[in-house]
Amino acid sequence: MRDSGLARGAVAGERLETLQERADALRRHIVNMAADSGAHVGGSMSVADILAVLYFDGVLRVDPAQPRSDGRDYLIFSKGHASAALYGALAERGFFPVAELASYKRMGSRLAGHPAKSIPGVELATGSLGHGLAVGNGLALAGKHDGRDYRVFVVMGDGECQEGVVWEAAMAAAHYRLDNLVAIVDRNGVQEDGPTEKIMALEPFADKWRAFNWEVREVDGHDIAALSQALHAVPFAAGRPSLLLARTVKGKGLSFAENTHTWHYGKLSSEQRTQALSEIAASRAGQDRS
Amino acid sequence: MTAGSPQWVAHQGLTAAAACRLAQCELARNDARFFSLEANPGDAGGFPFRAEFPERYLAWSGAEASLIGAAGGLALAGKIPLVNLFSSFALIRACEQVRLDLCYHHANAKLFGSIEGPETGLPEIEDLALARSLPNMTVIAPADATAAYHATLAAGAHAGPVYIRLTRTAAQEVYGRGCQFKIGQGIVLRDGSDLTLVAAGLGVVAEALAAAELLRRDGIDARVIDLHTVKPVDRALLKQAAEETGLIVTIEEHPVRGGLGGAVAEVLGDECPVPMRILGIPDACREQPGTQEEHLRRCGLDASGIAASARRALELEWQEA
Repeated sequence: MRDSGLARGAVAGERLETLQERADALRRHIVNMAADSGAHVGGSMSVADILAVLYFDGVLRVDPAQPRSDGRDYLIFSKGHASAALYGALAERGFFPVAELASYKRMGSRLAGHPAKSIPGVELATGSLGHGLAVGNGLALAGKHDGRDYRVFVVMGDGECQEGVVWEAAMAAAHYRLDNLVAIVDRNGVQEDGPTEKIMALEPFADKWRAFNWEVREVDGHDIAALSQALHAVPFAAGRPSLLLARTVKGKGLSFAENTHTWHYGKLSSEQRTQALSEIAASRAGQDRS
Repeated sequence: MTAGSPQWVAHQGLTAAAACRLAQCELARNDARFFSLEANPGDAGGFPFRAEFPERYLAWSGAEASLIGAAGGLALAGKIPLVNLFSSFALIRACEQVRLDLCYHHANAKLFGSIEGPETGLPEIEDLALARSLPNMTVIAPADATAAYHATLAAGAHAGPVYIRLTRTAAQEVYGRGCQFKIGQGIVLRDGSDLTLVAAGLGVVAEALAAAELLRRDGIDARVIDLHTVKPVDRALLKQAAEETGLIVTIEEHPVRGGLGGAVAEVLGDECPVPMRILGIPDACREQPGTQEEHLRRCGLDASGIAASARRALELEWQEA
């Protein structure tokens, strides 16, 4: 274990509980959006803890009152199909009212199925997979050129990494020594049509990034303390881009949706909504008892 | 005559691509937001920029999709990327990045696309249709090196994504004494009342002017318009030409569908429907090698081919009248 995280104070006690509550709130939002309008359930649930740490643990230096403030950190949410998770995080963080989440994907709402540029807190319109890392390079290059200290975080899906442009961008980020760039891969192992290793194998995945001259850390993507420690320790190496490989569970938190591609996208019935919300509540109660 | 000035450009026999590079350096000298991004255009044309502004010059090899993405990121951060590459690698290979990362975000990025490669046998000639279909994109096909120089300066001053069509072979001169280049404003190169030749791009504007001269010998008075900005088109100028001359012939080194002819037809259909002819390249992959001049002649886009098409169209109108 790196001791730098401990030096900063490992997340524990009340702070850990607060972050877990945030993650639960994101999961409840995802469930409600998926029940109301349908959503990419699996990839939203798997990325919820990552977003909770980015937005609520002081990792991302952003100001909801001034979403375009100069010198802010950039979050590029490249796996834009998991918009329900992102919108939940942005609303909880105060970029727009939580009540607006009820308009998800409704006619007239700005909360489209894929994030649009008009939404406060959204830096890049995403949803077409593979775009985020390359755009992140441009933001990071500008920051380097100008001697700014902002960081660029790019959240990607694992299936997304089958896109060739991701590896073009990985090559360029290392070539230009962009240590102000952090890519986080939500490695839930399941893509739209099935397990990634059966559809188009990614493994040895971490080694691929290492071979592209990235500094890689692997973490349990549902261990909030571990996520916090890793994300507060970026860059992992001077002169190299950082890759956080977050091992996650697709559909995490919903017994009927975990580890299956059948809930890559779906609309929850009212019974499933009730079950999902009670499972989310129970999981935390269980942890509290332990 | 100052090196790099428009007059100087006109007298150096520069290619449009080379003239563009001079203008890019000029832009970068006056504004630190300009970056040059380079994807192997192979003409060493970016080296002066690299020598003068090494910290703002980004070599990107042939990884065009990530190059366009990075241009989008630079633009989000307030920079103005000048991207030099082969047209097909921007508009076909990386079209989705152009569409989403640049056009959708109204990115202040400029694409300088060379349609080079008559000798390769499969040059990219569909660029105007592709670029024109993308939201927020301004599309320019300059007529010669001087126009390319001014188009580049104008693009640098214009907020939003711009595509400029270039070639690396020297084209006939149209604007020896400089030109008043304004994005979206066509230029009447020659007045006339019997019909209007509307052209855009290197080579064909000069051929259209020469065709007007051939027609004059037959007693036909042709107006010639350089419609360098294919999007947005100069609606007023086209409407006026249709009303005053009654017949429009468009000329482009581009497939007959979706390019300059399409843009003009869309306007005339709205504003002033008159007979028109679209001269361009048939719907086929151009596989043979050859010079631009040879290809223009083969497709009837040289002066005599244009004059012949115009004459036939005019005779038909006179018969029906």
